[in-house]
Amino acid sequence: MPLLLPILLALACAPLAYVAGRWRPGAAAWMGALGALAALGALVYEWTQETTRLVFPWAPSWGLSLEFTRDGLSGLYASMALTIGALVVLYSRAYMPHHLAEEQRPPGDEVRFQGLILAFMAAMVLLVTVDDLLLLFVALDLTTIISYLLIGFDREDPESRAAALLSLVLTGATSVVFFAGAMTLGLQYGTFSLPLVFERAAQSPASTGALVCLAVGALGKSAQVPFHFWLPRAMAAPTPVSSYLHSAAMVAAGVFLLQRLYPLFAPATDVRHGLLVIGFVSMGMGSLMALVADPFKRVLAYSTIAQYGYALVLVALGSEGAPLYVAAHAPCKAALFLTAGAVTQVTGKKKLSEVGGLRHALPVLAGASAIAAAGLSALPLTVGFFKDEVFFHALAKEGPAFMAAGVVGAGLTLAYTLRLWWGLFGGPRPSAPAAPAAPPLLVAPVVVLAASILLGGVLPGLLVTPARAAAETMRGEPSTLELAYHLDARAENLLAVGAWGLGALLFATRNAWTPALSRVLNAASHVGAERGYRLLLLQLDRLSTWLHEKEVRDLRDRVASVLVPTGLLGLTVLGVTPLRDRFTVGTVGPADVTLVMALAFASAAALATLRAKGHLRLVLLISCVGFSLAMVFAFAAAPDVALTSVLVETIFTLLFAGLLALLPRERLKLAQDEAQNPRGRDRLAGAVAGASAFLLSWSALSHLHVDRVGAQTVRLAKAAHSPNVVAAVLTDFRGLDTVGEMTVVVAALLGVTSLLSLNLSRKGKKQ
Amino acid sequence: MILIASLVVGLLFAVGVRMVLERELVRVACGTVLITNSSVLLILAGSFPERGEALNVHDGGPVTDPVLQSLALTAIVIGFAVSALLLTLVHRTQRAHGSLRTDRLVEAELKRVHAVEKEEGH
Repeated sequence: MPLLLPILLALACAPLAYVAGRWRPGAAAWMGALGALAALGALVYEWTQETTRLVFPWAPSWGLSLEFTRDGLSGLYASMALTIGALVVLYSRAYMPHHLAEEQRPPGDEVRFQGLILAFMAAMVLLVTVDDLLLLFVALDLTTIISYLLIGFDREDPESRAAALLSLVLTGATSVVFFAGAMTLGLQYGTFSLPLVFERAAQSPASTGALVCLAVGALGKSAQVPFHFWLPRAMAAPTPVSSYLHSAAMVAAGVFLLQRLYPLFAPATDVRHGLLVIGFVSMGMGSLMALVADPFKRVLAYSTIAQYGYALVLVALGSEGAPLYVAAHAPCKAALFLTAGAVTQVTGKKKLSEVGGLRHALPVLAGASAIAAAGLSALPLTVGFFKDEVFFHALAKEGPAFMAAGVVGAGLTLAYTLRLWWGLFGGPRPSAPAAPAAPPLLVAPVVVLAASILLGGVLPGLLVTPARAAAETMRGEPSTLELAYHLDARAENLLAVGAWGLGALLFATRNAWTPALSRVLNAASHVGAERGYRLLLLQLDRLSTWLHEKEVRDLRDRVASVLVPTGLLGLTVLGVTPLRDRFTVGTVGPADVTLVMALAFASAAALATLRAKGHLRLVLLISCVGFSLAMVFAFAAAPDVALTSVLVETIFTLLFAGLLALLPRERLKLAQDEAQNPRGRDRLAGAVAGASAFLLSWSALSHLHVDRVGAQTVRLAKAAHSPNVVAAVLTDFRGLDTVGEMTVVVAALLGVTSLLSLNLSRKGKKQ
Repeated sequence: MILIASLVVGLLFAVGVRMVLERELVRVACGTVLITNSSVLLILAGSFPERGEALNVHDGGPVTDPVLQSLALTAIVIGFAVSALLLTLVHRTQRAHGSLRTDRLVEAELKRVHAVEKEEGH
């Protein structure tokens, strides 16, 4: 069981934090952070243990089981999710009260927010730990649902709600595609267990269709072109959400999936080439948009799209640096998001054009975020340097075109990171009164992240073991990944220097090209995936409105629209089912004459109801149908049914007559006069439904099984000490059914009495 | 016999549907009663080919399938409970809207929806 300990601890965080929050709202965050650290401790402890896999049988006959693993990928991603989760929860302790006050919501909602963040963390830990295709999908959808609640946390804000819906629709729809891929693989290999799937895939490669489906799910999560547009919109969420979901968790999940399933993608070069193209396009598009975006959270969002484009390129090239890239990027991006949130809280501004010179007011934050920015743009002495090193290393193997693309991408990264940091903290001291100092808890997480970025940059040896373990899990072969500074003219170093030069040049000349670039990008934004999505939504909305208008115009059509298609469906089923001797006419002997006569009487009464004038006549005809059927039951030697039928029919007739007495006479007459104009299509609907019922029951009655349960029941009834077999069935063999039946009767009676008494009380008021 | 029984089932169902599609609520309720009746008949019709002799029971003779009988019993009782509830609803609707016609009810519903939409608009 040691394998489950981190998951269980992570799952316990949210409820524990909630309980602590009930005691004192401020305690929730600390409790949650403590739980996350405990889970992290359990994760480290787990690595000292022998167990690496845990399998619980779930539905063994279908080959389904719950499988968990402890390997390099799960360790790396789970520790990332837990560490950043703990920091973000603490940060939200300082951030949320202010935010909630601005939104005019009760301060107690802070606990709800932190509970959701912690629940998301647990879902993320679950996602990276499971070793089963179905569980992967379940965990993936859990993250989608919680992210919907988190992005739409400001529920009064329509923009936030729309952003949450967009991300739900997009990531949810793509994860359904992922599910389709997982099912295809499951059917192809006869198992959902990943190690078995990989083993069997080594013999017969997975089908391209399944791989494309899996990749679509991953691309949607990681906000890659053409599913990228949900991410910038999701910036409407409170900043802690963005800094967690959109740096280390939700968007990381997509690339994680590709790394987890890499053994399937390894032989499929076509699919990997497609991913490569998407990675480069996302890189370029995200970087360019980040260069011109004005709200600083949007700059970071576009940067995330671009950075996960890098990670996608690494996965597509099969580079062993792919897990390291994601892990090195996460703290840098999280720290920058947290910085953005702190700046917004202190100054109340959200756009780069509105702030500047904040290094005087917020020196600590400026320093820490400078380190994070350096990490993002891969400057030496930060962990970010190594993410670009592995990137260039992978590209250098592929040829000059790839190297050039890498240099441009990295140069753009440096340029927009510089623009962001300089826009926030650089420039002249603002003339407005100095902004108040940020609360320590708002800055501390950024400082911790910056310290870890520096630590990883100065002592890269610490990173080698986890990065190698993750790479081994991904590629299924021992990794020789090296992380060290080399002061020579190797390709990686030259490319890095080239990128820095390009980035610095771009930043220095930014005033020259920014207006032109933003004009071009503005024009480009009118075509593209987001516009297609909007059009689709608009058309669907129209269709739904049109259908609704059609449907509500007349209640009768609403009923017919259920009955007629069902009838047609029944007829179609009969038409396509190949059944020999589908219909048997049956024999009519002298003993059946009475039965047939009673049936004929019932039919005649039923037909007569259609022409019945006056309600009393109608009621009498209906009870006539019921009594004739009771007669049928009696002739069919079913005395219990016949007796019950007679009783029920008598009471029902009385009840109906009572109702008629309650209804005002003139109203009844009016209704009667107006009702006598059946429409042609009602006749048609009745005919279709009746024909379908007739043919279906004919077919069913023609295929009665020879061995009847009834015969056995008759024998068994003796053991139940009941001379009446039907009573034995009702009270003993199918006792549970009878309980259910009584529940229905009691519920209906309660409904009747409450409806009638409601009526009386209102009448009393009127008088 | 099979053909006759299923014909009657189909006929009762067709008449029931035809009445459910009428405009007046009392007749709609009658339609549902007919549909219930047709389904009870269908359940018991399964026992018609090998049924016992009515009013002439002796040990060892053929017996009408007791399982089908008890299922039919359950269906009858539940059908009765639901029809009673339906009739009360008809009564309530008449009280609330002063009409027994479904088209009037739709008008009232649409009016209410528009009123709510107007409120939201302002």
